[in-house]
Amino acid sequence: MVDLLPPAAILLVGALALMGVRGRLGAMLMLALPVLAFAQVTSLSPGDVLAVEFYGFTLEPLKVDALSLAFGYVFCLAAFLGAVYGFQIMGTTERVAATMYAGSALGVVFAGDLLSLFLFWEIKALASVFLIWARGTEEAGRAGKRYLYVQLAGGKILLAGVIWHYALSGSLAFTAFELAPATVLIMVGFLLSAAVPPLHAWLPDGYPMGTVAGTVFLSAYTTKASVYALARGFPGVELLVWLGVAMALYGVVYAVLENDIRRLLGYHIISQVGYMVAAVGIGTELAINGATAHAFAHILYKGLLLMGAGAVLYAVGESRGSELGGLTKKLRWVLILYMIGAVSISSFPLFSGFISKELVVEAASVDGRTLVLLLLKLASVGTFLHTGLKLPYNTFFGPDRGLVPKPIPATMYAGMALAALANTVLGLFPALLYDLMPFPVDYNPYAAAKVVETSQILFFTALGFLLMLAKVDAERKLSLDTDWLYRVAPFRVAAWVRGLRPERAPEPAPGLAPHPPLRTRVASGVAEVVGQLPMVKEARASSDSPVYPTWMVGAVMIATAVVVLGVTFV
Amino acid sequence: MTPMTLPRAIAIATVALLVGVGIDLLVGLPTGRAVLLGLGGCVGIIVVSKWLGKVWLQRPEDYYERERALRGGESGPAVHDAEAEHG
Repeated sequence: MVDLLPPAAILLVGALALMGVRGRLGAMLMLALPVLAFAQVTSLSPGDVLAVEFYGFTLEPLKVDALSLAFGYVFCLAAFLGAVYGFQIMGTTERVAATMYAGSALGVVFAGDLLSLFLFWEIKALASVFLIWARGTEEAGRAGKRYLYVQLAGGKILLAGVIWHYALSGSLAFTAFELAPATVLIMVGFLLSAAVPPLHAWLPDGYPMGTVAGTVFLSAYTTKASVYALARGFPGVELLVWLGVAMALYGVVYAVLENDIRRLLGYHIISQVGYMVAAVGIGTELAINGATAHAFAHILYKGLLLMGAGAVLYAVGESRGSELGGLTKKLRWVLILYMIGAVSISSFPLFSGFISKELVVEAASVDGRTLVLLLLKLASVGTFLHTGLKLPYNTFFGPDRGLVPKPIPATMYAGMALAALANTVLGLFPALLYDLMPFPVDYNPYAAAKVVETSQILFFTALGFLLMLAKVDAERKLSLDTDWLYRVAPFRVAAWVRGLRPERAPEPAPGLAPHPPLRTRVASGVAEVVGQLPMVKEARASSDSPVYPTWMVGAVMIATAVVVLGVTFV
Repeated sequence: MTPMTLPRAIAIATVALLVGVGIDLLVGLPTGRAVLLGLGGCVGIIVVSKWLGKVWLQRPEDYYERERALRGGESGPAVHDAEAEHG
């Protein structure tokens, strides 16, 4: 392949080309692009750097090391599997968006400087929302808007941190940072995209609203690119250990209550990413290997699980557990392939999740973190309970609702089969994964005691499920999450204020929507920010002054506030 | 599958618990840890989560539609991918 060509360029340029290629030809081109990008990734070696001058900045759109290579490989693999799965069901918009999304995520993991990182970060946010909007429903339209606003707000927080950090240090290098106000902003930007509670609600809100194939892509990139960014920028930050553990358990609690099978799997993305965030927080070589390995395996098994859930949605047009059931014979192969993903995520020996999750757990054990170890094992119990037991029970084994599935295209089965194969091969041959890790791995996941203990935990979880069968029925309910704070709370507050001061905020006349005044207020806020820009430019001109970075950061933060306010339109 | 009766559930759990502890002693693992994590963890997760749902988190599934209706909502953008619709 071409020397030092960023693999992201292949997918990003390819995505533009896909705009003009429709039908089967477009599907084939979409399939070829990740193969080319993968070939390009294999041609790269740790230490390769591409540097370009840009308005006085030295940008590095390509900087290669073992960490970025591991993520690069699996990002290409995920794009290929998604393209196979979506071959017959994706339209042009989805193909363009998915390919651009995968390309920008590849750009993130190979970015050597913070400015390049930010640019790819924003493309990633913008491209991914089209995978939600392409669903074509009004509900998906609203969910996509909320998703976009939150992602853009996160991007602005990241930008504020980058500008501030550059102003103070004069460096745009993306390396491990010391914690300071500026770098904390960068970390918050990463944490938001990693879906760390309470900044996570965009994920269970947005992902289940995506198209059948789009959600498979969504599950692969945003959170994992953030795990990569945290692993590079903030290894060993103690706070991350506890945020990660909280995430792992948070997703489990919500998954018990969740009715929509794709949202349930979304909550389990949060839970599984919790392992990775905790591992980054532990920060040892073993832990970073664990975070990387688990991200790698997670992309494969979560992709497979969402392919299975998507196939159910495609076939019967329903994704609520309470409305599903009696599909064991009607969708036999979907069930079998889904269960391979389920045993993988549940850390069954011989499957991918076991060899990756055990690395994280071992890192906590070696680091002497008994409580973390126990809580992560507890979260693992919850994972099997929901994805391996509750979801398949409600979806396939529950009472027959008389659903008549429409035929599922062969390529969807092919995508699932390839993902199942990848999960099994990694489980059987751990060295294939361990050899890709950023640090040498000296660990045998198949030591007898570990296999016996894990098998026992899984067995007793299944027993507990059987004992509690009457309690795990899917309910036709939703669970409030932190998105309530921007979907409902502002209106409650506004109504409360109107109630207190009727003379200032009179009730709208019948037939008039209450939105226009709020819209006007937000518009005037935007105008105010724009009005500040000349002052920012002026301040920046006298760059000797230490004030200008705070002007810039302030402007970006105000813009963030405007974006957050904009959520209230949705 | 139908939920089992309480006496049968207790009997099965007791036998399984004894077998689990026996395996722990045989292999040299912390006695009862796997049982506690698997069985206790599973039951605990279900009970605590359901309780949180009942007292705090759960709402009717049309909760947000109702909230929107109360304030007179507006539609979001929707990109309709006609090509996908028709395969």
